[in-house]
Amino acid sequence: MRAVRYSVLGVLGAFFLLPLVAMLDFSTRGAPGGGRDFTAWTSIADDRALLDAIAVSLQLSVLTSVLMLVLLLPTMVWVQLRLPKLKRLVEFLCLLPLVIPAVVLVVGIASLYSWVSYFLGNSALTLTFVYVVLVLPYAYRALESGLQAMDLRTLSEAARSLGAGWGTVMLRVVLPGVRAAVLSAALLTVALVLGEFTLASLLNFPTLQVAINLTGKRDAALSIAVSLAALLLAFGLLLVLSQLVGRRRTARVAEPLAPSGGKA
Amino acid sequence: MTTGAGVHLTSLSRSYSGVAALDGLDLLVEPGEFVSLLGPSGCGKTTALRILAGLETADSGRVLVGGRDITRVPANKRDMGMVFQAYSLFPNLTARDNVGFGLRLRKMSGAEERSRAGELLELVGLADQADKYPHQMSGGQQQRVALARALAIRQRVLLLDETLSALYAQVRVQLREQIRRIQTELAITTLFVTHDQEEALAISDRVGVMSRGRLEQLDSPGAVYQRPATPFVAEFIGVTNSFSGSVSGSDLLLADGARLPAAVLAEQPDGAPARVLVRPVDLHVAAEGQLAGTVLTHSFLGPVTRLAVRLANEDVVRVDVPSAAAAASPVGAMVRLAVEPGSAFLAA
Repeated sequence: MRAVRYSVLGVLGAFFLLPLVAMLDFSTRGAPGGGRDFTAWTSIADDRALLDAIAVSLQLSVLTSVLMLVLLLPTMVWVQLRLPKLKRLVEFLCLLPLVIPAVVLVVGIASLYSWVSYFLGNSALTLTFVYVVLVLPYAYRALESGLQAMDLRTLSEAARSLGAGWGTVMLRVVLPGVRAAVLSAALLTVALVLGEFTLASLLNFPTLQVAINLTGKRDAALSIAVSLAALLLAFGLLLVLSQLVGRRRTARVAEPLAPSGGKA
Repeated sequence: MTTGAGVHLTSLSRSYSGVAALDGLDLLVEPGEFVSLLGPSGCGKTTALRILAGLETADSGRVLVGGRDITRVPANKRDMGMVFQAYSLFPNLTARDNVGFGLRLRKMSGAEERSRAGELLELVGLADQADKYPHQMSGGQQQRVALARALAIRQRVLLLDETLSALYAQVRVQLREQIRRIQTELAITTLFVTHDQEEALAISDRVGVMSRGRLEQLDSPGAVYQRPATPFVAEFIGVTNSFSGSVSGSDLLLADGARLPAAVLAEQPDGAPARVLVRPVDLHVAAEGQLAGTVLTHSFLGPVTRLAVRLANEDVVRVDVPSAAAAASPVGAMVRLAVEPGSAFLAA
């Protein structure tokens, strides 16, 4: 049984690791007969356009995560507490971007973006708005699972009866209760924004993926190095998240229940 | 020492999708009084409590606390402590921090907050659990912390919404006695919603029996049990035996010719159909009893044993006899039953 388990683990590990090893190999391959060459990796820091694109994508990740949470979490809480009949509609609207191809989406919003550019300028950061729409399905699912896991109604009513306004309820009761779900939603958002190419390219904004694509046309090794770095960054974030959530769960399981006193 | 405020609900009405949950409810709770609202599911007791807490809004009517109209005041400005049926401690906070939650919102200093939280945890007997998280405590302990949290803000009205329902029987009894002791000590006006009659009768100054969104009777536990104001209360509170027949003077004439003394029928016209209720404790096994029947079962209830007796008309009635005397009426024995004079209630 153990052999089967390790075999499955080995096959899966190879499935995921081999492309990464291949990317590392390609990006560090020197001249034929020579040793490893890390020029592609060191030249990342020298490519101004690439660094700018990385900065834009990171800013977009943060802005999209924040805007998504600010819009979606209070809406979901409000719908669950006050407008439960609208839950299906909100869910439908949030999942809709999943079935609309990015190309179709960009055709629809291209004219809208001329207005966005008119009012807010031509900054790539305006992509935040369309990215919020794009991450809705994933963020909704992550937050929904968190909200379902807590007794939102009772906890919010308890806080209200103790004198908390809605802002305090959100910040001190709901947010700590769905901390893991918020982290999951934020991570999915970061991963999605860092990897998004179609919308940025068609709307002509220089994000990381667009820059990688352009770089690939003149320096394949450099573009692969940047891609690998972006992937490792996303993995790193995932690892941090699972550690954070895992530690919390382990602490809960490890603590013994106090003796007697009724149903726990 | 906290002093409770009087609560006055006047003509409260609330309906959900056209169905009335409250239908002109009037309720007056004196300062420092412990009142329980009792009734079947859907009678409106929880709705009344939630409207008082500000968690629901009434369609019409007014809510007055300490003489002040708070009908339009939001829940977080009402200064009422509430303990819920579901465990409502904030899972990310320790017991001490849960108790201090309301104090922090009132800008109390850290030292004061810790001291007050410790004081309250001491009061509910959980000083040694102050640093535990909710998931590390039992259900009974969590409800006691929730009680301490509700009391910490020195509110003048305490609301208990089926607080003991999720607990085991033994813990329920302990906790209800503790709640009553603390309530008496602090003189907090308390409104307790429950569907458990024994619980309501055991710890309340007065019990309000509700049906279809209205208060049927609001009286002391003894009066509600012994002098029910309406047929609904008579049938809802405690266990009763039902007898149907026709009025004959101040007796109920049963179909088999037996006569049951029922003073409540004195005002009714002779020959009119009627139904009366008699509690098991008001039926006695007696040689000269008016009713004859066969003992079917014995149920030992501690100081009394409840006999199930099948009467000549096939109806089965329950009779409480002292456990020491139960052996005199074994299963299968023919017995005669007498009704305690003046004990019969008129049924609906």
